[in-house]
Amino acid sequence: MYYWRKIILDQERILVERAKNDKEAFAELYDKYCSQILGYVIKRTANIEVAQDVTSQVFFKAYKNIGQFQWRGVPFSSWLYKIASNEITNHFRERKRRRQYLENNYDSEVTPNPSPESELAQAQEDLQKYEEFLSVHENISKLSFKYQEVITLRYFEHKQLKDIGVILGKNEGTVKSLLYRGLKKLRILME
Amino acid sequence: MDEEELNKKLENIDLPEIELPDYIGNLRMALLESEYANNKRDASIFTKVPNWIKRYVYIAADSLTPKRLNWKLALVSTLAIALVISMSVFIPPLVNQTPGNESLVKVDDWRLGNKTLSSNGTTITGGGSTVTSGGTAVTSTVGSQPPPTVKLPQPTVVVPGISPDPIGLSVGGANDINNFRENIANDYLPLPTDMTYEGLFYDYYFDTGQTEECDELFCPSYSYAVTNDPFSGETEYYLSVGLNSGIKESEFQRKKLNLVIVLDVSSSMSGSFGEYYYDQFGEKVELSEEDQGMAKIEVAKQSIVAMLDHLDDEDRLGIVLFNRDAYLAKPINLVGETDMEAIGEHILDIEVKGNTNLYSGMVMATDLFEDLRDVDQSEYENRIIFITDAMPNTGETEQGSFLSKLEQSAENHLYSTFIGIGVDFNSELIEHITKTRGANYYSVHAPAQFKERMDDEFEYMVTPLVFDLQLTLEAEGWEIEKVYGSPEANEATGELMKVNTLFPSKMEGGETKGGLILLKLKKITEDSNLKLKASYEDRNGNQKSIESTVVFNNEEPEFFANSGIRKGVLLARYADLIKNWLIDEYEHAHFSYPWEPRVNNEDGIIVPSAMLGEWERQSLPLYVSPPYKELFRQFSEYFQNEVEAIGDETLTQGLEILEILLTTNNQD
Repeated sequence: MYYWRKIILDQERILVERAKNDKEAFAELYDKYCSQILGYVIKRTANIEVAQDVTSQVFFKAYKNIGQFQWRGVPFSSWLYKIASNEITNHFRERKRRRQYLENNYDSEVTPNPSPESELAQAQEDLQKYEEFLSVHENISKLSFKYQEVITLRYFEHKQLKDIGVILGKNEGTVKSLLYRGLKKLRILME
Repeated sequence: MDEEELNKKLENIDLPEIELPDYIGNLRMALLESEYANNKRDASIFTKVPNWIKRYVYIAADSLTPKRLNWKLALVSTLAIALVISMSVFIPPLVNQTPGNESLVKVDDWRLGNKTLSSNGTTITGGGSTVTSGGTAVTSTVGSQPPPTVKLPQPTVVVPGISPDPIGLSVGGANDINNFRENIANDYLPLPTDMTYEGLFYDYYFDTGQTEECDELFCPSYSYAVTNDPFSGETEYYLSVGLNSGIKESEFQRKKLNLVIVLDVSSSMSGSFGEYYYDQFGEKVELSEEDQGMAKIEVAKQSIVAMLDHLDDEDRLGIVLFNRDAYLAKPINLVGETDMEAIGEHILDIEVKGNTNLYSGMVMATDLFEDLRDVDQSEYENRIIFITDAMPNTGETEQGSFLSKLEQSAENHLYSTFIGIGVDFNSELIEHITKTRGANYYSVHAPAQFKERMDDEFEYMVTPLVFDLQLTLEAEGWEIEKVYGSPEANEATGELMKVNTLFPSKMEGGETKGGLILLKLKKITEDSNLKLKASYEDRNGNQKSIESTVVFNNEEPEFFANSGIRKGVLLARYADLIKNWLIDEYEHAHFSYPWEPRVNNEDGIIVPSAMLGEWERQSLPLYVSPPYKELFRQFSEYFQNEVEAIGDETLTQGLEILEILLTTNNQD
């Protein structure tokens, strides 16, 4: 198992190195991870429009800055998750300031809503069918971002504590504590 | 809904699977046709070439264009390019073969045969040197100081363009109250000094009341509260000083480190730990059977190995061991040139024997820095880390001698960290001597716990940022009654508060770990204005000052400007009550006649006495006298209400301690 993981990581490392100078290689990484990151952002925000906006930002930032990415033996997706987590936090914390910033800086690259109206409407309709998820999400969204992150990554993305630590830049013990405290708070909210 | 139900619900929830193929396709296209993609299309190895080489290439290319054919210039430029390429190909191997680089072979410079540490300090192998009792005859050997090697930057994952959380500041001195908790957990009566205000504050995150962006090294923020004592109902006034900084986590980089680790290898370090400890969230952590039986020295050794992981090639490391005498185990040398794996193994092989002469270890460690006095202070940080149970019983044992030695070192920019090991760690001594500039201390109760803490905090632990903070109060109507959350609290006068050192501190959700100092104020007249002047020295010795004005509007109790000061007031009252209880229990431990507790419904929670007396570390059983049981019961209700009002559940660890104290079966 270890060797398979190593081989896969080696292949990804080569692809990431190529992607620093080769847009087709970046396109391969995009194809591999876009749905995953979009799915994560939807589960964090429960809003298709916001998720599209945030996911666009994630990949533009990743593309722009991949040259500075240093390989440390963890999957490239952890980096994308990390950018996504930060973007979601930025989105909610600094909505106003960020919009202004985007207007000034990213107009040329970002298409705020690149999804056709019909697809967006259908997706929003589909999302409403997941009533239980939306009800739990409503309570999770009342928690601090640090708790939202760990709970979503653990239960909705099914990540191991160690991987969550890598994504959030925290050690495993801290993640465990955050998860414990987050769930305790969530339990109170759900009662 | 209980824990298990919630867990099941979350694990089995039907998650949205939303397909957005058009969006994904559109975004792909937008990405690959963006400005970045066009730039990347041109990207080649050429983009990594320095600008001055590019300039020659452009000149060469430009010279060869039909309109400006200039063969001479083209020839010179082309030759220059060829020369640069040749240099880049041939010179690196030559550099690697220079005599200076022979030191890339890493050296195991351990000097002691571990099993030869004699209790009389005379049998040392491997050329180690000793300091005799009393520390008067020092003959240490400092390792050669080779020129620094060029070190490649450590690999990091950078998330560019995203502003990371800023970091805050916290005071030096105690960084936890682990020893207090562990004594309670193991049914011992803690020492009053086990409960430090700054250690208690450092267990929590505080809203510092910061409302403005901070662009400086230090930006204090002030908030106030008007509240009644929960026992006497007397109105009290508090002012909090929020410790904010404009430094961003991504910009933070510690200096290179000259570090000497001083390890206590005396017999008392062979004692074992308890069965469990309380972690930083107040959760009871059962120690594994292996850890329960683990001697303090084993924890200490593993703690050192955990710290070695955080050293970089350009740092220097030396190691001193002490029991009755001090031994130079490892001269101070560059980490990059040391076989650190071998050093780690030597450390794990150390055995204990003999009395405890902490002073001799202190003297030898200080002496190791003699040859490093001339290093660039702006580039290097000098620090000694003592790992000990702090029970000196031979050689120099006076607090004053330790303190003056540390103060003298601090004047020469050599700072200290104490890492206390064991439930019987003498916090009284360490609390006293770490009031020195640049000093701090931690206590360790399990290797894994310590490793985790070092992963989080090592860089901050060795990097004092702000020195000699003084807060001057200019107010006709007010004076400072008591300072909470600073090790130098007792140095405060009615108009002045002093803090020797501020270290960087983590932030989470806009709150700073230990980022608050609390002042209890005495109202003298009705003049409600306070003028505050904070002056401090930065790490380069520059003096700075900031003036602010705070006006106490006519708020009635219970008024708290924010949750940070409310948490600070709650913790200060909690610590005061606990300290008063411990002083009373120690004072009356040997007397059978009736006595009155210091805290009562008439006087409320008074400020504990500073005259604590001289104690040996005694293993007195945990005891709560009946009057305090009643006081704790009343205080628990107040505490519970405050936890709900503040909304920080980590505070419940205080409640859990009160619960233990309420249910303690006294053994008379």
